Amino acid sequence: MDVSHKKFNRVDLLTLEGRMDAASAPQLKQHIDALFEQGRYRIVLDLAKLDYIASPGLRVLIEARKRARDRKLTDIEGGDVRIANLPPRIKEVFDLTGFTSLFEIYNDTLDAVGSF
Amino acid sequence: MFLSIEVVANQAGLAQLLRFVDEAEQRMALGEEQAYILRLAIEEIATNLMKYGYTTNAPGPIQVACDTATGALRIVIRDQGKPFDPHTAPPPDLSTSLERRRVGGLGLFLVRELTDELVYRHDAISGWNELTLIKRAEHERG
Repeated sequence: MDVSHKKFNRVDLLTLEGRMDAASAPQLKQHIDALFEQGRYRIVLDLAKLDYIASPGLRVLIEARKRARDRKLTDIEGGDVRIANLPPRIKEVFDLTGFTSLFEIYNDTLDAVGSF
Repeated sequence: MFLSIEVVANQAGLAQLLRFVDEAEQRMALGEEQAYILRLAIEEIATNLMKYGYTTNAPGPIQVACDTATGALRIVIRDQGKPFDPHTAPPPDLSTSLERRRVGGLGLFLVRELTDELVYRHDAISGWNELTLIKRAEHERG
């Protein structure tokens, strides 16, 4: 899996490409942990080019969102991990596991970035 | 087309299995859904065997065979770990509360939901467990 990073003023966009399997899920966790360590808790994950996800990847996503939301950035704003562009196969997995209702999901990357 | 492999149930074995899936995807004429379930089933079942089937100090064998002789994808996964029928696994927590949500059990749940047939057998004499998963081609399902 390839992870590319684009930094906006208030938001970080991580674009995932390929397969997030047991071997590559920790790679995403490292990217997210690095952002958290810099105090950056507003993250958009663009999954348009993600071909595969299994339980290790789902675990990384949910734990990242929990940690981001625990972080209160201002009195009214917290951190979050939001999703952009769910491909049909990944959406099926999200739907089956109830992840669709656990995340804010956008059909457009800029909408997701602008939602913060 | 028939492909098979035997590995030891540890991280190196899992890496071998994922390479085996890459090869199977290239050599077998699989539909998109079949390719997905092939990778998912092998990854999730093997990970489960490493965690719960065998003790860490004594990882045993995992045998995987897959074929498309009948048009459907058939995956057979055999091991000598603790007997475990995936049908008896407790359902995962699918509640919608992020704070309370636990993620354990999602892998087996996905495998059960995304395969068309899943048959478990345990041979008490030899100690082998055998899990057979069937995923039919998209055009063969009603």
